[in-house]
Amino acid sequence: MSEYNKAEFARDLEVDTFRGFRDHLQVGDRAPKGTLVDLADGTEVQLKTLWRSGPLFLEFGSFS
Amino acid sequence: MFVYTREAHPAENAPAHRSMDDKLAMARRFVERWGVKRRMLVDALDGSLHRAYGTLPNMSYLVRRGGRLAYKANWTDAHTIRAALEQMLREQADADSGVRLTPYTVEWQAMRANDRGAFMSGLLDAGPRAVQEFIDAYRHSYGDKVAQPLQDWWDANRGDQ
Repeated sequence: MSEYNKAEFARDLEVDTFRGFRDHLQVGDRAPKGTLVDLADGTEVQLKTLWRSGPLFLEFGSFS
Repeated sequence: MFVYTREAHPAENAPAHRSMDDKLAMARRFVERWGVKRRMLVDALDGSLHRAYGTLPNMSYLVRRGGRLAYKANWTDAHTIRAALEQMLREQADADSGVRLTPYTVEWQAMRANDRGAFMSGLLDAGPRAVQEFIDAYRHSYGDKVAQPLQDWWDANRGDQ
């Protein structure tokens, strides 16, 4: 199992990650770009194309 | 948009993803389970975008047209998102009217409702291991007294688990 896709929940409750969030990115910064897969049709989507014509709201999450 | 990430609480019903097929299948289960109507975008298996934005399990961002970050939150809450969107609409109305705009920054620590029962029930959807590992992590980080209400919930709700 990879370091990112952990098989177990972190015993430290990811406290350091939560603390680091404040300084990780700043409002006003350029949003990180990337490629995602659209679940509807399996196509690749470049994130930067989604904010080209208007604002974009992103929520991150998972089933668990 | 919803960006599907790694499993925050991997367990029996939501194991850690070993392949992109695993991740896409769990994203479909999530959409079906919660009736998600928003566009669902799935991050790469290595979580490259999730990590670029901070790696938290349920963070949210509002990105301005053109790609600048306007809002960031370490947890997703509908009320603050609504306030941020309303602010953005006001700004757009001002801009459309020819009002000269200049940026400023707000820091705001908000309080959200914390429904322990609903949260623990959500963990149980992932599997009993998700519940137990969360309780163990709470006990490890904060001690028996703080973890006890979670343990009490589990003792009352574990049924045949």
